[in-house]
Amino acid sequence: MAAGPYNYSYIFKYIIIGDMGVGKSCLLHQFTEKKFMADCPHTIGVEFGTRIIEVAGQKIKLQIWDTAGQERFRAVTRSYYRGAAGALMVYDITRRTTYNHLSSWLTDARNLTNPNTVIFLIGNKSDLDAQRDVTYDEAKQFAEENGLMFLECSAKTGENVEDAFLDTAKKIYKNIQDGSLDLNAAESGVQHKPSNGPRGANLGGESSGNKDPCSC
Amino acid sequence: MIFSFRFKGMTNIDDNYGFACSKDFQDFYEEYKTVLAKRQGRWETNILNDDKAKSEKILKRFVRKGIPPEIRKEYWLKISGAEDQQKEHPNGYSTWKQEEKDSKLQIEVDKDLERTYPENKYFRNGNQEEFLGKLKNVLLVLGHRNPDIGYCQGFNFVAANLLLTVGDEEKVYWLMQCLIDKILPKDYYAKDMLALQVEQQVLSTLVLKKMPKIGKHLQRFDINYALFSTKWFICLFCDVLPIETANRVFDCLFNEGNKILVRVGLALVKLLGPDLLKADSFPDVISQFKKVEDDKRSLNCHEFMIAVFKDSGSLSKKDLEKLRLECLKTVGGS
Repeated sequence: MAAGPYNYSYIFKYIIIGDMGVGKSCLLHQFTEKKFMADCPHTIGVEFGTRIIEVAGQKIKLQIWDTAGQERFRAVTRSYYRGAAGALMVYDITRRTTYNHLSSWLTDARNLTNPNTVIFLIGNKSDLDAQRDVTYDEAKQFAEENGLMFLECSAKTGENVEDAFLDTAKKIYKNIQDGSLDLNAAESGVQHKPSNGPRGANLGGESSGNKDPCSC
Repeated sequence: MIFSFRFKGMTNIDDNYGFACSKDFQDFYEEYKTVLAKRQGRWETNILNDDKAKSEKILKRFVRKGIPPEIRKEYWLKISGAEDQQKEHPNGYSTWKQEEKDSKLQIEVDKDLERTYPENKYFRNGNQEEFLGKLKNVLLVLGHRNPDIGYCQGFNFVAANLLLTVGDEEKVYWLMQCLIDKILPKDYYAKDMLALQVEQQVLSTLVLKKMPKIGKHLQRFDINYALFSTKWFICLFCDVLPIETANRVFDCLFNEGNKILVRVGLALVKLLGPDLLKADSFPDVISQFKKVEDDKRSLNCHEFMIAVFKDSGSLSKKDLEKLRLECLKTVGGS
């Protein structure tokens, strides 16, 4: 296994959650490929994407898990919540039911991640303003009441997509800097790559006690 | 980067199922046509035009080598038992189709219809309404008749694959109903997804046992089998393997039962083995698994199926059932 050199100093693990068809995979695709995938297939189980970004001069590799939206798949996707540094919780501004389900997604996110996980609320499909079913103000209020960061985005036009992913990373980085996120804590969702191999939680999967931490 | 290979290297020529096909498939198909013609002849002499009842063993051998496309749909209905189920409810499908459906079911089905094989010409360009209409009916009746399951994401690919092969929506419904009732492990599509997790645990146990080097490599990177095999098992390899190969798997699934699923899983792991072993990071391993959907080795369905039976070696029904029970304890207790 390679011990470096790495072209990034941190790995942050993200998960994307939310109802079926709100555009989770399209947001991921827009962020990693910078384009809209019109025929985006639905995710069965979990999918995965990565991109290296820069925050405060530090290169950070985002490892992003995109999960199936159908409720029953939570049985399979729940294990991916663990050790996430960031959670992007998505609803569709043109379908109120997807907004109404947020409290249940939030409960899962809170219960299955650590207290320092940054949760970012995304109202997707902002390009479809004419069909809007959820106002900006009420979602903003929901976010404030629950201590979430919030933006309306469009995976189609790309509007605010970059910001949602980057602002989450900035917040995580800030938590590392001010000491509120302990990199040595199990399941912090962050790996530091200084010199001699990784420190912090294993981002690979469920079990700890793995002798060989992954050199992602 | 995101790993999507669905549209890579395709030509304008389509296979017989409405998918644009790659140059690799065309090359293979030229060869395979000869094989098909030969198989067709062998079936006519030995199975179809021979009045003597054929032993299960002979039929199994023939089916494993592929049911000729011309008779595939009749044979699927016959050997699966779907035809018998249909006969018990001669007006069932048309009645159930008219009945009012649960609104949540309708919303979920609608959401996935347009996301079903958008690259296939039958689900696009003018044929859209006919095929999507049939697909919708099948999925609604299936969910309606199986309220404990409802609609499971992935059913759309299974139903679409069967529809492209069988054509008649009522027959497709009965094939799927028969899979649920008789062929797949009990509660395979239950909402708790326990049976799915059992199957994944079975696969992981068998990989370690039969391909220890690969199994340990996956362990080393802490690869959870749910990551790559959820779609395999839920979709019964539809939208994972090329359609002709998926149909060869269906041949065996309808004839021999669900053992074939873990066999195909093992064959895919084995096929990817060399690339998996070269992968030296967690994301790299995962990306190797994603490549299976564009791996040209699975295009050659004939060789692929030979590998399926060779790679998984002997696997008795009894041992598999025992292993499933053991795995249920692990999965259910976690």
